[in-house]
Amino acid sequence: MRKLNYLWRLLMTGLAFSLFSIGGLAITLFAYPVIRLMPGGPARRRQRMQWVIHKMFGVFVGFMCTVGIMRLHLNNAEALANARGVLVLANHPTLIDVVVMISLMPRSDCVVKAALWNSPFLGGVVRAAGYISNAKSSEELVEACVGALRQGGALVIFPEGTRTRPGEPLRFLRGAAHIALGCEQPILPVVLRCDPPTLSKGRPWYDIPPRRFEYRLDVKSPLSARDLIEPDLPDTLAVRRLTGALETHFALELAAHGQPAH
Amino acid sequence: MKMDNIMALSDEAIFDALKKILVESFETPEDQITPEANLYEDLDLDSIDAVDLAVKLQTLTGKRIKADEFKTVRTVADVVRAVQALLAR
Repeated sequence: MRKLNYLWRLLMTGLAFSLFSIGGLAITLFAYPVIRLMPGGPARRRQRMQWVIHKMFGVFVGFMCTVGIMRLHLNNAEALANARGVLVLANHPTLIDVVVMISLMPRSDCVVKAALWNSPFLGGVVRAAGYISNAKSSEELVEACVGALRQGGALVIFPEGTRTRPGEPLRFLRGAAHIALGCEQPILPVVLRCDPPTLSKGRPWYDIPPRRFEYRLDVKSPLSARDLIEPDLPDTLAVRRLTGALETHFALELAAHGQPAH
Repeated sequence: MKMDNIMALSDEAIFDALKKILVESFETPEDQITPEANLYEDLDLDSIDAVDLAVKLQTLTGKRIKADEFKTVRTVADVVRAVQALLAR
């Protein structure tokens, strides 16, 4: 029975990954042309595209829960759904973090890899959604992110820059702090946990856990960058202090729930 | 002290000034600052820091640094050389 369940989950995980690619292609082939033909300027188009991606990711997450690969536990997810003009920061334990988060966010902006931005299949969708390409200089990237926040976007950033390396201490890059200090918008911390760990860094999709994984998403109270550091610091120091403060904040949240910070 | 020493700064003087900036503004551990140290890989600076550093060096030398000139800079010794080139202009 156990073995059967394992095989079922392996099969369904493979199917989920295929569905994800097919879904992306479907959006490019069907939703994208329709949205392009609909009335309204680029801003409306961007919102509609973000909504379509949100719905598509919702179907994907729903599928994974229904077939029994994962179980989703949400806490205060409404704060994510209503997020506007907010810098959403999350730790990054798995490959599906952004998918789960956007499935809860009708409007979201994110930074995507240049490879995705230029992809012949998905590039059009990603660009129409107004997502931000990381193929810019750091200054331009921070500026684009601040701009998106000022326009009322809910910008999702993983301050680690890549998935968490299991067994290593949480380490944040300074980009998120640069963005947070570049505007006065609040920070919304999202703490993600996955037990047993799966789809983590350096682990192929077929290396599935011994049982269905419990995925927990917990939206914490908003933070203000200015409250986390001393006032009147020069920029170079403010960015470093804020990065350290955010790192500690997340490490403590993760440790508080029985999952060691490292 | 010879007159030209007052006009020109020695490499050591520039290195010390740079070290002070790195420690005070970028919280770089002092013992890691060697001429060979790579600003980005060893000293954990990012490209936004590099812009800040260039601005600070401009204040120090009173000369404008062009963005292109600073792009090729990788190590602490490169910065010292760039500052010397700036002062020689």
